[in-house]
Amino acid sequence: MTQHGDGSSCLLRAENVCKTYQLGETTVQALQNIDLEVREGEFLALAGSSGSGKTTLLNLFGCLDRPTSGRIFVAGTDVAELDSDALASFRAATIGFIFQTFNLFPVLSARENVEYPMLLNKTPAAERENRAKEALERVGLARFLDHRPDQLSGGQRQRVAIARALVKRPKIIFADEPTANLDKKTAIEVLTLMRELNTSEKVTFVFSTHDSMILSLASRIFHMSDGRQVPAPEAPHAH
Amino acid sequence: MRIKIAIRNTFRNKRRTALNVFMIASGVTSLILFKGFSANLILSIREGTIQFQYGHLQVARDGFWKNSAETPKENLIPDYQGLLKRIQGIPTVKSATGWIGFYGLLGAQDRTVGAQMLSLDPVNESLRLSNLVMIEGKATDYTGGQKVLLGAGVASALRAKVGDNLNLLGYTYDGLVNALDIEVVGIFKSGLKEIDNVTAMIPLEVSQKLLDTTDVEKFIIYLKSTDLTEQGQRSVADILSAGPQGLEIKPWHELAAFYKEVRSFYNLYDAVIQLIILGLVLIGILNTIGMSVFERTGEMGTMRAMGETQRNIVRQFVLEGAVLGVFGGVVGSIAGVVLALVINAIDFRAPMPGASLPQRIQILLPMWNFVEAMALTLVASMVAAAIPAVRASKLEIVDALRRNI
Repeated sequence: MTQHGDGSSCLLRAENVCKTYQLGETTVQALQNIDLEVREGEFLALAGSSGSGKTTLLNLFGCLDRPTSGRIFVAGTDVAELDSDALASFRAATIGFIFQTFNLFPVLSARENVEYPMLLNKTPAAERENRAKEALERVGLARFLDHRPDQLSGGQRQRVAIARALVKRPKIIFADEPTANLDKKTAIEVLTLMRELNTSEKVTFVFSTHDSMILSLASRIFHMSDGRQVPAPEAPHAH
Repeated sequence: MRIKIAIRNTFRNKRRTALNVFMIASGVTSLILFKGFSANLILSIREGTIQFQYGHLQVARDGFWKNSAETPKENLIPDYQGLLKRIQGIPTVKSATGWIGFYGLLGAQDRTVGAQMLSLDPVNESLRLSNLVMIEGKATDYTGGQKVLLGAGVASALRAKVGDNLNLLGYTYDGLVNALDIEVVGIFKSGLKEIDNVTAMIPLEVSQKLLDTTDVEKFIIYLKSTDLTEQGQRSVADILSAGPQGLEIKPWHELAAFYKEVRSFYNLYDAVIQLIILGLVLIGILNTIGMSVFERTGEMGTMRAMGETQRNIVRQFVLEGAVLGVFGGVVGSIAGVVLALVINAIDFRAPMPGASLPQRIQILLPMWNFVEAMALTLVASMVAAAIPAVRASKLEIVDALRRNI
C-alpha cells in the first residue's frame, strides 16, 4: 500500500473508474473517471444527491460489483484479479458493511447477528460469543444481547449493525446512507458512535450521505454529482 | 449455528411451513401405507407359493427338473426313508416328506377331468394341510387311505361333493394304465386359483400304489421360517454329501418362476408409484419454498456482502429443506403407523388377481419402509429448496441487496 507523508497507508484507490449500467435500451453512466485515494484511519464521507454515484462507488470499493473500466485497489489488492469465491473471502476478512436498511437477520438475536460474520471466518463458537458480547457492549447494547431485531428501535438496530461490521476487525467499513432511516437525533448519535469507533478502534470508515449535518462529522468529504467528482459547493455568503 | 439458523428460518412463516409439512407428511404416509400394502401382498404370495407349491427346499436326482418329463422312472429316489429321517432331524427343519406328482384323470359318473395329482402327507405336511381353506369337509377327515382333497375348481368341473367316490386313472412308471377308487373327503381353496383349478391331493402311499412304486420323485422340506432357507440348504447339503450321491437341492426361489415374475412386476409398479408420490411432493412444496427464497433475496445479498459464497448460500437453503423434510418425515411416519394400525384392525378383504379367496388387506411396517420413505421425501425437500436457491444465488449482489426493505 502507498505510504503518505503522515505515515498512513493508502487503503483504497480508484484509478479512472467508470461504471455503466444497461437499463432496457438506455445506457446509464453511473460513474465517470473517478480517481480517489482513501488513507488508513480516515472517516470519509461521499456526498451528493440521489443518483450522484455514491452507492455505486461504495459498491465497487466494497467488492460487491466490478467497474466497467478503471481499477480498484483495496488494501493493496487489485480486486479485478480476484474471482467470485476469492472476493467473498476477501470481503469476509477485510471489509465490514453497514446498510441503510440495517439488514439484520430477523431470526437471530442481536448477539447472533453480530456472531454471523465470524461464522464465515470459522471463528470457534466460544470466541464468537465473547467477541459478539464485547462488540455489543462497545456500542451500548449490553442489555439487549438476546433481543431480536423486531424488538429493537431503529437506532438500536443500526448499533447492532455497527457491532456486526466491527466484530471481525475489518480494515475498512463501508456504510451506505447509514442514518437515512433514522430520526435526526438518533442519526447524530449513530454517526458520533461511528466517529468514536473510527478513532478508538482505528478502523477506516467510508460512508455516503446527502445530509449536510451528518457531513459535518466527516474528516474529509468527497463530493459527487452525476457520477463525477465535483468541487465542494461554496458556502453561502452573508449579506 | 447453521443448523440453528436453518431451524429458525424453516419455522419463520408458520402457515407456509405447516403447508409444506402437510405435503411432505402426506407423501411419507402414502409411501409407508403403499409399501406396507405391497410388502404384505408379496409376502402372502411368497408364503402361498412355498406352502402350497414348492416347500422351502426340494431334493431330487440331478437333472430331475430338466428330465423328469422324459425319463420319470430314472429320476426316482429309491430307499429314501433313512435319508429322509436324517433330514427331518435338522434343527431348522419343521417337516420333510417324500413326494410324487403325476397327471391323472378323475372320473365321476359322466364327467372326467384331468388334474395334477400331488401327494400330501397328512402327518408330515400337517401345516400345509391346515392352511388349506376347506370350503367343504374337514381337514381332519384327511387321514390317509384312499382319500382325496379336491381343489375348488376341480370339484366344480366334476360337480363333486364330499362323500362322492371318484375313479382315479393314471400311468405307472412302466407305462401301464392303473386305476383306483378314491373318496372325496374335502374341497379346498389354497388362495391361488392356479392351484385350485387343476390340483387334487392324495396321500403319498396312494400315489405310490397307483404308480406301482415304493420310491419318491423328491423330498419337500418345510423349514421353521423362510428366513432360514439358506441355512437350511447348507444343513441339507451337509447330510447329502455323506449320503447317496446324485441328489440335488433347490431352494424355493429357484423353482418359483411365477413368483419371481410377480415380484419383478411389483418392484417396477412400486417404483413407479413412489416416483409419482415423490413428484407430487416436490411440486407441492416447490412453489411455497420458492416463495420463501424469493422473499429472502435481500438477506442473501447481505450474506454475500459479508463474504458468504454462492455455494454456501445454496447449502444453507438445502439445509432448511432438510429440516423441513425431517420434520415432515417424522409427522408422516407417525401418521402412517396410526393409519396402518387402524387398517390392520379392520378385517377388510378384497379379491386379488390369481387368488381364489379374498385377501385381508394388511399393512406391514418393516423399519426399512420408514427409512426409505423418509429418505426419499428428505431428498425431495432438499431438491425443492435447491432449485430456487441456486437461481436466486446467481443474482448480482447489488441487485439482491436492493430487495432489502
